[in-house]
Amino acid sequence: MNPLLAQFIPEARDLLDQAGAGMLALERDARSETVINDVFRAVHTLKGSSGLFDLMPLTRLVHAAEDLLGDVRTGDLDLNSDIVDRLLDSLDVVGQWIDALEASQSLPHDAEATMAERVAVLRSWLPRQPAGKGGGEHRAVSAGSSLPPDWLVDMPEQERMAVFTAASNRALTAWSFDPEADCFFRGDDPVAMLSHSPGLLALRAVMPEPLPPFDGVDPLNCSLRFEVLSDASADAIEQHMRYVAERIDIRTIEACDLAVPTGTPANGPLFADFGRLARQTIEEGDPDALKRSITTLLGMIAQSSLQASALRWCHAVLARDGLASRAMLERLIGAIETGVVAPGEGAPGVVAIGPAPSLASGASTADARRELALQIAAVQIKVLETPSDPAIAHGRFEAVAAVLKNLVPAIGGGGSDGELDQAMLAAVKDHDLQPLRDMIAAWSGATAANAAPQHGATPSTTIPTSPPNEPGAPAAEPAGDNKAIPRVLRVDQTKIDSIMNLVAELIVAKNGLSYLSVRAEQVHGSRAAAREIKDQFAVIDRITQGLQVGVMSVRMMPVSQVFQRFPRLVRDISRKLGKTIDLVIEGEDTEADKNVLESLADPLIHMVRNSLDHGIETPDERRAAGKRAEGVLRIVARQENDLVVIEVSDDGRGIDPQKVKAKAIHLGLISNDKAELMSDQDAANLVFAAGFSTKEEVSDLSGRGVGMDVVRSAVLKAGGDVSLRTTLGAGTTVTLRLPLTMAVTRIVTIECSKRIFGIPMDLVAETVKIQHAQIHKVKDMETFVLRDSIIPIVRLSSALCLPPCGGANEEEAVMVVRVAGQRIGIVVDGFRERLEVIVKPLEGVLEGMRGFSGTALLGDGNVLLILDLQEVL
Amino acid sequence: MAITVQENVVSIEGHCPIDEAEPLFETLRGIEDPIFDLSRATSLHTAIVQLVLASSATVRGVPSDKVLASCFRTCSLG
Repeated sequence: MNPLLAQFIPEARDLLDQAGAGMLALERDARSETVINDVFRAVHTLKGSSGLFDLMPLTRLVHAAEDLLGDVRTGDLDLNSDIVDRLLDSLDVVGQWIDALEASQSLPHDAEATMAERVAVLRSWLPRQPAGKGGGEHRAVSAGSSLPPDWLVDMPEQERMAVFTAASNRALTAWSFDPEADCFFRGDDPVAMLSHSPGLLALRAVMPEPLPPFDGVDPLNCSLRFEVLSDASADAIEQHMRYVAERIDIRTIEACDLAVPTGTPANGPLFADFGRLARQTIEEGDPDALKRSITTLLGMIAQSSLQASALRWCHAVLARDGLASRAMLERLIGAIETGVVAPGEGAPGVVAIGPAPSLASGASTADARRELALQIAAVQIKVLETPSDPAIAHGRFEAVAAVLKNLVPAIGGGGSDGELDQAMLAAVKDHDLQPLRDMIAAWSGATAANAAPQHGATPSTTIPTSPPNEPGAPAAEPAGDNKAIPRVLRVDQTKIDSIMNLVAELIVAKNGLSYLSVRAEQVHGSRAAAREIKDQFAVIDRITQGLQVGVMSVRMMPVSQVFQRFPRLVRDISRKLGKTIDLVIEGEDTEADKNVLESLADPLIHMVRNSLDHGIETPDERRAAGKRAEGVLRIVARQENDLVVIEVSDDGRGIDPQKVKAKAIHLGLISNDKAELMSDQDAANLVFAAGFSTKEEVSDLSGRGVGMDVVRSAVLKAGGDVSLRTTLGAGTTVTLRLPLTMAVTRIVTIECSKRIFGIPMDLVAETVKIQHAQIHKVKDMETFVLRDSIIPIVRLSSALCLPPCGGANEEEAVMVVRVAGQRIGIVVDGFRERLEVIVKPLEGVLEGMRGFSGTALLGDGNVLLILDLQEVL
Repeated sequence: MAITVQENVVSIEGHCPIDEAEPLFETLRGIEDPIFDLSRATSLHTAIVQLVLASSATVRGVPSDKVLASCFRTCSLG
């Protein structure tokens, strides 16, 4: 994989996580400025980095989300749960696409379709924007809209005529391209993009009007707009310009839409006469006569007049179509007669007075210009306010004065030249900017336009004199964000795993030294050597322990990695079920081994679902029971010695032990007698039994059969334990206990029937030696008394179906273990040493064998079977 | 690629990339009534096109490329 892409993928996932968490936080408190800025920044960065790769659907989807968030940030849009749903959904889609990228380095086939659908929904929430460079960002592609654009008449007549004549009656595309002001920084070259665009017939490069003073120009800020006539299809153009689709406006037009006369209307009696004559010749079907009349009249009038333009168009139409295009000719003749161009079919009326405004939308043009002018004026003040080198100060004043003078007509009802001169004088001579400020305030006070001067940093104005402003930068950096960025290494997990394996082997190998020292003494008779080996062993042991701890800690990660998906999960499920849930998470920083945590993720999700689905009641039920309508779900993690303990508790309806017992008896899991003896807590724990589920209706969340037994086996497989406590009506707490690490296990070896077995140390409570006489029989169970408790006894040899060892000694060696919350004494033949080993699970043919949790390789080369006491007893 | 300045005439030859935009801008600021000779320019980055237009300079020779030529159509041809 391209290394850049390999780096992008984990970064993208991080950004998605940040954005997702932020949006959930925003939903709870939409006013937090830090949160919205964080979310916006994450999405903005994601959009930017994705732009490096050919991932158009992804970039566009993220861009749509960014635009929405941008509006939330400026207060133009209020966030509600529906919008958050859609945004989260879009982030999910992007997450899936990142996964696809990782797997196959390309987006799925339907990415574009999926994107289009979602972008349409997201953009439908965007508030209407005024036209112009600032607002243009929000414009969706209007491919194939058939209203001719306003700027069409601004294209020089010669060009239009040439295209008209060549096009006969083909459909044409008129499209405009308004690049973003900072497009150069993204490596875009609009002219180059246009050069290669399909079907290019005519092109016009438009600078903003009026042209700002050259001194203040920012050469790296793009303020050009382009207008293009093409004979390619709208789709072809959209495809070619797909990376900047939001900046393109495509219209499909007809050649006749080009035939619009322009110019200043002239006066005179000639025109009425011409009109009559022209219609007559048309009636008579004499195109040549008409042509002659046209030529004659053209020779007599100003070439720049509207009528001259119309005459030239008549000529062109006649040349191309003869007398066939009657409607067009009629329109043109009408224009000649009256000096007014009537609207064509579908075309907006064009009153030819001077150049048409160059902003795209019709109705709000004057307002938009005024807005823009006011913004520019405000910025001029800022320009003057910034401290400057005296050498350029004078030039700057002149530039600002020129700009403000040019703005006066656009602001309309506002200032006068004299007023401006006076204010500028005060600024230059007395260094007093207040008159200027007042004047501009008065200008903007004239109408309700108030948005411009108040924005501290007007985003994306393309006026070159404005200080360059990064579109995404928040106005003020949040003060408290001074956390030092931790130095982090991204390491491939396989590298860590291989180091772990080596350490594990080292531990086993070091154990071999103990055996060696014994052999040195016994077999080779060298006590001195034995002692030295023992010394060396101690050194190596110490170092290995340190190494082991070090490597283990590399694989440790905070449980927050797994917990972070819960807020979203809880939110989605609670919305679906119509319950209100308060999620409390504690101990997020508790660390556990990565593998252990990963094996926990699914069981935890299942437990959370259980609590939400079966545990916590609906708000009505809760109120009826006298509880708060909002249910509380607590997820707590903490470290206890060698274990990580995770508790999931809810304050819901709890588990009814009677129901559970009844079901268990019904399923044949326990006998009636046993059921009666069972405590309520033990009864509740029956839910862990295989094939258990008390909910009669299967909800699609927790399903049936995928019950707590699956959770239990997953936890056991990770070397842990799960139990639950419940109180009917008050709630349930499920507790997971897991080893801190998964690799090396401390075991005790015991001897039984001449064989050696291993038992995990954390199950062992104590070891005792008891006399025969202390063993009592209760019903058919052997027991003994240990400090005021009765401990049942199991003879390991019988449990394992091995021949009982010989010799009825006076003493029995009993290992007291704690299994499933109960203490049991296991009678063995003898205790052996304690070891640290790597337990490898049984594989292949042995996988199904009950009673053993795995094997370990001993230092002397033998294989030790580790007992799974749960299954044995 | 070469940008040559002789008195107030700026000639651009070959392909002119965006890197030249800022230096060209500074140069133009120092010239009164600049004149551009682009007849030997083969391609220009948009930023360069923009600078020519923003400076309201006279364009004495247009590039032979049609798209570029169109961009300078509105300029006075001195």
